Amino acid sequence: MKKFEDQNHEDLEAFFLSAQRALPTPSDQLRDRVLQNAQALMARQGAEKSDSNGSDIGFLGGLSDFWSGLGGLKGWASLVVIAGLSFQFGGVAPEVEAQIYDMISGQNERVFEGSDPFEDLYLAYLEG
Amino acid sequence: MPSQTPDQLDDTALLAAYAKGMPEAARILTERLMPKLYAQAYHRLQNAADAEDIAQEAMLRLWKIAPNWQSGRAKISTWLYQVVANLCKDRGRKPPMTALEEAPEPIDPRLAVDARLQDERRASALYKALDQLPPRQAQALRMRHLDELSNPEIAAIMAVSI
Repeated sequence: MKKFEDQNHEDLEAFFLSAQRALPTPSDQLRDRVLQNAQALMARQGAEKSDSNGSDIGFLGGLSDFWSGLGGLKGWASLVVIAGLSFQFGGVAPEVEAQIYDMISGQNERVFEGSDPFEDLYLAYLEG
Repeated sequence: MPSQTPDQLDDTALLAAYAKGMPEAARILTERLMPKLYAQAYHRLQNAADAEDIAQEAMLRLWKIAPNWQSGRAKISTWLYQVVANLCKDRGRKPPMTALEEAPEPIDPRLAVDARLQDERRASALYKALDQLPPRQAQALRMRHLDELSNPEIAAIMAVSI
Protein backbone atom coordinates (compact mmCIF):
# COMPACT_ATOMS: atom_id res chain seq x y z
CA MET A 1 0.00 0.00 0.00
CA LYS A 2 1.27 3.42 -0.97
CA LYS A 3 2.07 5.98 1.62
CA PHE A 4 -0.22 8.98 1.83
CA GLU A 5 2.62 11.32 0.82
CA ASP A 6 3.51 9.22 -2.20
CA GLN A 7 -0.09 9.14 -3.29
CA ASN A 8 -0.32 12.92 -2.93
CA HIS A 9 2.87 13.34 -4.90
CA GLU A 10 1.54 11.19 -7.72
CA ASP A 11 -1.71 13.12 -7.75
CA LEU A 12 0.15 16.38 -7.91
CA GLU A 13 2.29 15.08 -10.75
CA ALA A 14 -0.88 14.09 -12.59
CA PHE A 15 -2.22 17.61 -12.18
CA PHE A 16 0.96 19.17 -13.51
CA LEU A 17 0.92 16.71 -16.39
CA SER A 18 -2.65 17.73 -17.19
CA ALA A 19 -1.62 21.38 -17.18
CA GLN A 20 1.17 20.55 -19.63
CA ARG A 21 -1.20 18.65 -21.88
CA ALA A 22 -3.79 21.43 -21.75
CA LEU A 23 -1.22 23.94 -22.93
CA PRO A 24 -2.31 25.27 -26.34
CA THR A 25 0.16 25.34 -29.20
CA PRO A 26 1.42 28.82 -30.11
CA SER A 27 0.14 29.89 -33.51
CA ASP A 28 2.22 29.99 -36.67
CA GLN A 29 1.36 33.67 -36.89
CA LEU A 30 3.20 34.28 -33.63
CA ARG A 31 6.32 32.65 -35.05
CA ASP A 32 5.99 34.76 -38.21
CA ARG A 33 5.56 37.97 -36.20
CA VAL A 34 8.61 37.20 -34.05
CA LEU A 35 10.74 36.54 -37.14
CA GLN A 36 9.45 39.67 -38.87
CA ASN A 37 10.44 41.70 -35.81
CA ALA A 38 13.88 40.09 -35.87
CA GLN A 39 14.40 40.94 -39.53
CA ALA A 40 13.11 44.50 -39.16
CA LEU A 41 15.41 45.16 -36.21
CA MET A 42 18.34 43.54 -37.97
CA ALA A 43 17.82 45.83 -40.95
CA ARG A 44 17.49 48.89 -38.73
CA GLN A 45 20.54 48.06 -36.65
CA GLY A 46 22.51 47.38 -39.83
CA ALA A 47 21.48 50.74 -41.24
CA GLU A 48 22.42 52.53 -38.01
CA LYS A 49 25.79 50.79 -38.00
CA SER A 50 26.57 51.87 -41.56
CA ASP A 51 25.48 55.43 -40.71
CA SER A 52 27.79 55.57 -37.72
CA ASN A 53 30.68 54.17 -39.81
CA GLY A 54 30.17 57.02 -42.26
CA SER A 55 30.77 59.64 -39.59
CA ASP A 56 33.66 58.06 -37.76
CA ILE A 57 35.69 61.23 -37.92
CA GLY A 58 32.93 63.19 -36.22
CA PHE A 59 32.51 66.89 -36.87
CA LEU A 60 35.17 67.04 -39.58
CA GLY A 61 33.54 64.14 -41.35
CA GLY A 62 30.19 65.90 -41.22
CA LEU A 63 31.75 69.12 -42.48
CA SER A 64 33.43 67.24 -45.28
CA ASP A 65 30.10 65.62 -46.25
CA PHE A 66 28.40 69.01 -46.12
CA TRP A 67 31.16 70.55 -48.25
CA SER A 68 30.97 67.80 -50.85
CA GLY A 69 27.19 68.02 -50.82
CA LEU A 70 27.46 71.64 -51.83
CA GLY A 71 29.71 70.74 -54.73
CA GLY A 72 33.05 71.70 -53.21
CA LEU A 73 34.76 74.99 -54.01
CA LYS A 74 32.83 75.47 -57.24
CA GLY A 75 29.53 75.08 -55.43
CA TRP A 76 30.52 77.50 -52.69
CA ALA A 77 31.60 80.10 -55.24
CA SER A 78 28.25 79.83 -57.03
CA LEU A 79 26.42 80.14 -53.73
CA VAL A 80 28.30 83.35 -52.82
CA VAL A 81 27.62 84.89 -56.24
CA ILE A 82 23.91 84.02 -56.05
CA ALA A 83 23.67 85.47 -52.55
CA GLY A 84 25.33 88.71 -53.65
CA LEU A 85 23.07 89.10 -56.66
CA SER A 86 20.00 88.41 -54.60
CA PHE A 87 20.95 91.20 -52.20
CA GLN A 88 21.62 93.58 -55.06
CA PHE A 89 18.43 92.94 -56.99
CA GLY A 90 15.72 92.22 -54.58
CA GLY A 91 16.94 90.47 -51.53
CA VAL A 92 16.34 93.54 -49.38
CA ALA A 93 14.81 93.89 -45.96
CA PRO A 94 11.00 94.21 -45.74
CA GLU A 95 11.12 97.74 -44.25
CA VAL A 96 13.14 98.99 -47.21
CA GLU A 97 10.64 97.35 -49.53
CA ALA A 98 7.88 99.23 -47.71
CA GLN A 99 9.73 102.51 -48.14
CA ILE A 100 10.12 101.84 -51.84
CA TYR A 101 6.43 101.11 -52.11
CA ASP A 102 5.58 104.33 -50.27
CA MET A 103 7.85 106.33 -52.50
CA ILE A 104 6.32 104.85 -55.59
CA SER A 105 2.81 105.55 -54.41
CA GLY A 106 3.86 109.12 -53.43
CA GLN A 107 2.66 108.92 -49.88
CA ASN A 108 5.87 109.80 -48.07
CA GLU A 109 7.56 112.08 -50.47
CA ARG A 110 8.14 114.74 -47.79
CA VAL A 111 9.71 112.38 -45.40
CA PHE A 112 12.34 111.36 -47.87
CA GLU A 113 12.62 114.73 -49.51
CA GLY A 114 16.23 115.76 -49.78
CA SER A 115 17.51 112.71 -48.17
CA ASP A 116 16.00 109.96 -50.23
CA PRO A 117 18.57 107.27 -50.89
CA PHE A 118 16.26 105.77 -53.48
CA GLU A 119 15.57 108.97 -55.33
CA ASP A 120 17.22 107.76 -58.50
CA LEU A 121 15.21 104.59 -58.41
CA TYR A 122 11.97 106.57 -57.92
CA LEU A 123 12.73 108.88 -60.82
CA ALA A 124 13.69 106.03 -63.03
CA TYR A 125 10.35 104.40 -62.23
CA LEU A 126 8.40 107.59 -63.04
CA GLU A 127 10.25 107.93 -66.26
CA GLY A 128 9.25 104.45 -67.20
CA MET B 1 37.94 19.51 -36.56
CA PRO B 2 34.40 19.59 -37.98
CA SER B 3 32.73 22.97 -37.67
CA GLN B 4 29.45 23.32 -35.80
CA THR B 5 26.22 23.76 -37.68
CA PRO B 6 24.08 26.73 -36.55
CA ASP B 7 21.67 24.34 -34.82
CA GLN B 8 24.46 23.15 -32.57
CA LEU B 9 25.45 26.63 -31.39
CA ASP B 10 24.41 27.71 -27.92
CA ASP B 11 21.99 30.60 -27.41
CA THR B 12 24.71 33.18 -26.77
CA ALA B 13 26.59 32.28 -29.95
CA LEU B 14 23.36 32.38 -31.93
CA LEU B 15 22.45 35.78 -30.53
CA ALA B 16 25.88 37.10 -31.48
CA ALA B 17 25.39 35.67 -34.97
CA TYR B 18 22.02 37.40 -35.20
CA ALA B 19 23.57 40.69 -34.11
CA LYS B 20 26.08 40.29 -36.93
CA GLY B 21 23.25 39.94 -39.43
CA MET B 22 22.59 36.21 -39.71
CA PRO B 23 18.82 35.68 -40.14
CA GLU B 24 19.15 31.91 -39.69
CA ALA B 25 20.26 32.52 -36.11
CA ALA B 26 16.99 34.36 -35.41
CA ARG B 27 15.01 31.43 -36.78
CA ILE B 28 16.81 28.88 -34.61
CA LEU B 29 16.54 31.05 -31.49
CA THR B 30 12.83 31.59 -32.15
CA GLU B 31 12.15 27.88 -32.50
CA ARG B 32 14.24 27.07 -29.46
CA LEU B 33 13.09 29.75 -27.04
CA MET B 34 9.70 31.07 -28.09
CA PRO B 35 7.59 27.98 -27.20
CA LYS B 36 9.02 28.02 -23.67
CA LEU B 37 8.24 31.71 -23.25
CA TYR B 38 4.74 31.13 -24.53
CA ALA B 39 4.22 28.23 -22.15
CA GLN B 40 5.55 30.23 -19.22
CA ALA B 41 3.19 33.11 -19.99
CA TYR B 42 0.24 30.81 -20.58
CA HIS B 43 0.70 28.98 -17.26
CA ARG B 44 0.52 32.33 -15.51
CA LEU B 45 -2.20 34.09 -17.47
CA GLN B 46 -4.26 31.17 -18.81
CA ASN B 47 -5.02 33.17 -21.90
CA ALA B 48 -3.60 32.20 -25.28
CA ALA B 49 -3.79 35.68 -26.83
CA ASP B 50 -2.07 37.32 -23.87
CA ALA B 51 0.57 34.60 -23.80
CA GLU B 52 1.32 35.18 -27.50
CA ASP B 53 1.61 38.94 -26.96
CA ILE B 54 4.02 38.43 -24.10
CA ALA B 55 6.14 35.85 -25.94
CA GLN B 56 6.37 38.22 -28.90
CA GLU B 57 7.32 41.17 -26.69
CA ALA B 58 9.98 39.14 -24.87
CA MET B 59 11.54 38.02 -28.15
CA LEU B 60 11.46 41.60 -29.41
CA ARG B 61 13.41 42.67 -26.35
CA LEU B 62 15.92 39.95 -27.07
CA TRP B 63 16.44 41.20 -30.63
CA LYS B 64 16.87 44.72 -29.33
CA ILE B 65 19.47 43.80 -26.76
CA ALA B 66 21.38 41.48 -29.14
CA PRO B 67 24.10 43.97 -30.24
CA ASN B 68 24.85 44.81 -26.60
CA TRP B 69 24.53 41.36 -25.07
CA GLN B 70 27.52 40.50 -22.90
CA SER B 71 28.35 36.82 -22.87
CA GLY B 72 29.43 36.96 -19.21
CA ARG B 73 26.02 37.94 -17.93
CA ALA B 74 23.06 35.67 -17.13
CA LYS B 75 22.03 32.90 -19.48
CA ILE B 76 19.74 34.12 -22.22
CA SER B 77 16.99 31.70 -21.19
CA THR B 78 17.19 32.94 -17.58
CA TRP B 79 17.10 36.56 -18.67
CA LEU B 80 14.09 35.87 -20.90
CA TYR B 81 12.38 34.03 -18.09
CA GLN B 82 12.60 37.14 -15.95
CA VAL B 83 11.40 39.33 -18.80
CA VAL B 84 8.31 37.15 -19.22
CA ALA B 85 7.71 37.06 -15.46
CA ASN B 86 7.79 40.87 -15.38
CA LEU B 87 5.52 41.19 -18.39
CA CYS B 88 3.03 38.75 -16.84
CA LYS B 89 3.11 40.70 -13.62
CA ASP B 90 2.46 43.94 -15.50
CA ARG B 91 -0.41 42.48 -17.43
CA GLY B 92 -1.97 40.97 -14.34
CA ARG B 93 -3.93 37.84 -14.07
CA LYS B 94 -7.10 37.67 -16.09
CA PRO B 95 -9.95 35.26 -15.53
CA PRO B 96 -9.27 31.90 -17.17
CA MET B 97 -12.56 31.98 -19.04
CA THR B 98 -12.04 33.11 -22.61
CA ALA B 99 -14.36 33.88 -25.47
CA LEU B 100 -15.17 30.92 -27.69
CA GLU B 101 -13.22 32.29 -30.63
CA GLU B 102 -10.16 32.76 -28.41
CA ALA B 103 -10.32 29.22 -27.11
CA PRO B 104 -6.98 27.54 -27.72
CA GLU B 105 -6.56 24.65 -30.08
CA PRO B 106 -5.71 21.38 -28.37
CA ILE B 107 -2.14 20.14 -28.63
CA ASP B 108 -3.23 16.89 -30.13
CA PRO B 109 -6.51 17.02 -32.05
CA ARG B 110 -6.83 13.25 -31.72
CA LEU B 111 -6.99 13.52 -27.96
CA ALA B 112 -10.40 12.45 -26.83
CA VAL B 113 -12.68 15.30 -25.93
CA ASP B 114 -13.40 14.03 -22.46
CA ALA B 115 -9.72 13.53 -21.72
CA ARG B 116 -8.99 17.06 -22.91
CA LEU B 117 -11.79 18.45 -20.78
CA GLN B 118 -10.43 16.57 -17.80
CA ASP B 119 -6.96 18.02 -18.41
CA GLU B 120 -8.38 21.52 -18.65
CA ARG B 121 -10.34 21.10 -15.43
CA ARG B 122 -7.31 19.73 -13.63
CA ALA B 123 -5.12 22.50 -14.98
CA SER B 124 -7.63 25.09 -13.83
CA ALA B 125 -7.77 23.53 -10.35
CA LEU B 126 -3.98 23.45 -10.23
CA TYR B 127 -3.67 27.13 -11.16
CA LYS B 128 -6.15 28.04 -8.43
CA ALA B 129 -4.28 25.97 -5.88
CA LEU B 130 -0.97 27.56 -6.86
CA ASP B 131 -2.50 31.00 -6.43
CA GLN B 132 -3.22 30.18 -2.82
CA LEU B 133 0.40 29.38 -2.00
CA PRO B 134 2.91 32.01 -0.85
CA PRO B 135 4.25 33.68 -4.00
CA ARG B 136 7.80 32.33 -3.86
CA GLN B 137 6.62 28.81 -3.17
CA ALA B 138 4.21 28.97 -6.08
CA GLN B 139 6.93 30.43 -8.25
CA ALA B 140 9.30 27.57 -7.43
CA LEU B 141 6.66 24.94 -8.18
CA ARG B 142 5.74 26.56 -11.47
CA MET B 143 9.36 26.75 -12.52
CA ARG B 144 10.05 23.14 -11.60
CA HIS B 145 6.91 21.39 -12.79
CA LEU B 146 5.37 23.64 -15.42
CA ASP B 147 8.33 25.44 -16.97
CA GLU B 148 10.54 22.39 -16.43
CA LEU B 149 13.57 24.44 -15.46
CA SER B 150 16.61 22.76 -13.98
CA ASN B 151 17.46 23.29 -10.32
CA PRO B 152 20.46 25.54 -11.10
CA GLU B 153 18.24 27.69 -13.32
CA ILE B 154 15.63 27.93 -10.60
CA ALA B 155 18.29 28.85 -8.07
CA ALA B 156 19.65 31.55 -10.37
CA ILE B 157 16.22 33.03 -10.91
CA MET B 158 15.13 32.83 -7.29
CA ALA B 159 18.31 34.51 -6.14
CA VAL B 160 17.46 37.67 -8.07
CA SER B 161 14.47 39.84 -7.56
CA ILE B 162 11.94 39.59 -10.35
